[in-house]
Amino acid sequence: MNSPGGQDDAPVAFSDVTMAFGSRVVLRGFSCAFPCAKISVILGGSGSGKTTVLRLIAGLVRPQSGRIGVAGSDITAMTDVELNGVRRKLGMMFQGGALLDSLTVFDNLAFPLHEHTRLSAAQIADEVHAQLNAVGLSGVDDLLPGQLSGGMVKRAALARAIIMKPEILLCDEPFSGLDPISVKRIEALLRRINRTLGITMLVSSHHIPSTMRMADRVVLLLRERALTGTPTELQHHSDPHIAGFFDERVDERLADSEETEMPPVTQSGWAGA
Amino acid sequence: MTFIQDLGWAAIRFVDHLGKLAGFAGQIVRAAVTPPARVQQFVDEVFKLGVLSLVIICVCGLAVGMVLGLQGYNTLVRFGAEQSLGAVVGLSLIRELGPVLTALLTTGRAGSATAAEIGTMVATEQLDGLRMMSVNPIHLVAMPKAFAMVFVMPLLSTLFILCGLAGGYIAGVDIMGVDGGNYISSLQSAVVFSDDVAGSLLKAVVFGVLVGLIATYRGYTCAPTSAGVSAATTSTVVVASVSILIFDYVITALWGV
Repeated sequence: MNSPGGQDDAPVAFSDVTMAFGSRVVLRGFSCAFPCAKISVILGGSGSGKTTVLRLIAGLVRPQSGRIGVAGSDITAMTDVELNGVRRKLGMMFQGGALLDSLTVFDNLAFPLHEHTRLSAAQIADEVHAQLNAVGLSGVDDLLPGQLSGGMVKRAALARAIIMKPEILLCDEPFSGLDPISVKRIEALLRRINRTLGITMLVSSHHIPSTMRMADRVVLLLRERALTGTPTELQHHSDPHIAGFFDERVDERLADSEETEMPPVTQSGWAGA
Repeated sequence: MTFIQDLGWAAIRFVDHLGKLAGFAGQIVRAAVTPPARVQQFVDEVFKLGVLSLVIICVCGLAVGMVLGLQGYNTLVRFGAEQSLGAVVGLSLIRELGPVLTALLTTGRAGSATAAEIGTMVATEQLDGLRMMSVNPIHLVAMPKAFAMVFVMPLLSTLFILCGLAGGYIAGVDIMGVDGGNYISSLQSAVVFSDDVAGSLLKAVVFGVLVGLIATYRGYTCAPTSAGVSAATTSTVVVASVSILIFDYVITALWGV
């Protein structure tokens, strides 16, 4: 088939996709192709549709119109059973990890291998430990997800997402809620996985420094349109609003402007709260 | 006019929910005949829903039986018929109180827990995580829970009845002085296995289907928020309890059990 979005070799392509939740339109006529074996970062403010783009690719939500091509198949009209075939080629790292909270870390990673392979228990254990080592986790086999720190949950989720050797890896806000050291550790992991395994990677984020360092391509979701380009291209865009999005000082300026616009908090205001 | 409109919308929503519930039941049945068999999950659920309910079922069964024994004795003694206490306690427990109270207790303890567990999995994207691993959440999570509920309900109901009969014996024979032989013989002669016991088991199975289906459906379809999980848990208890009482009447009216 011809991939939607214009590029036949693109593993993920959107063509004129519109997605709404009730009356709130999140994506309108969105078209975009994500290149093979590259890291594409989807940027945008809160509620701009970053997570929705990933969930559309995963088939977890369905668009109102348009076509979505994933790994050579048009998934738009697929049934859940048909989608399972496509999902075998996908891995997804959810924002909160989505690890099964009743299973240990080891069992969480072993679960997809038990479900979809005929590996022996020893082979599964070897594979799980190899993936845990790859993401820098050791000695956590018997811990439950609730006993892990935020960064460890993200790394365990990443290990589970890649354990079935997916062609495409979707990462939903992998840096959210992490300290700077954990951010750099996850970022390095993602880059290493992309370079060594050649996985096409789509990362939703609003973490600008990481995006500038790791992205081969950036998709910037704005209210009325989406822009694509390399981080450098978008950083030097002629539109100051778009270029400003990549300015790390923008947060400070936004905070300053909000502070001047907001009414002052008075003692009585607190007392009345 | 607004009242009639609201009534109409409520009716439409009710029919819509019924349709979705029927569709969900169909998916559970289809999952049950689709490999792989989820034996381990089923056994785990039987433990959680059944074994962990044993204490509450035994205690409540004993208490209800003792109350029945006392009330039955106080009523029967006015007519000089206290020797029929075993029959009164037995038939009350086997035909009505055993399956109904067991189902209500199980709804409160295990049904609400089932809805909350599945609802939390929805809110924390664990079910989406399963979908991304090409695993049907209904097959892995909902189906074993629903079938475990159907399996444990008649067993728990039987245990409740046995504890109730023992409670009735303690209250009637040991405390109020009714002859023990009369208690047992009146119980034996009054209870017909093919009618009373089979009917009791039928009710328990139907209630198990109701609680299992409603709890898993409410959890599976809850809003992915803490308020959504809370609402799903509450509505499971309310809807399942009302459904149990309505179906109890329907079964009794249709088959006289």
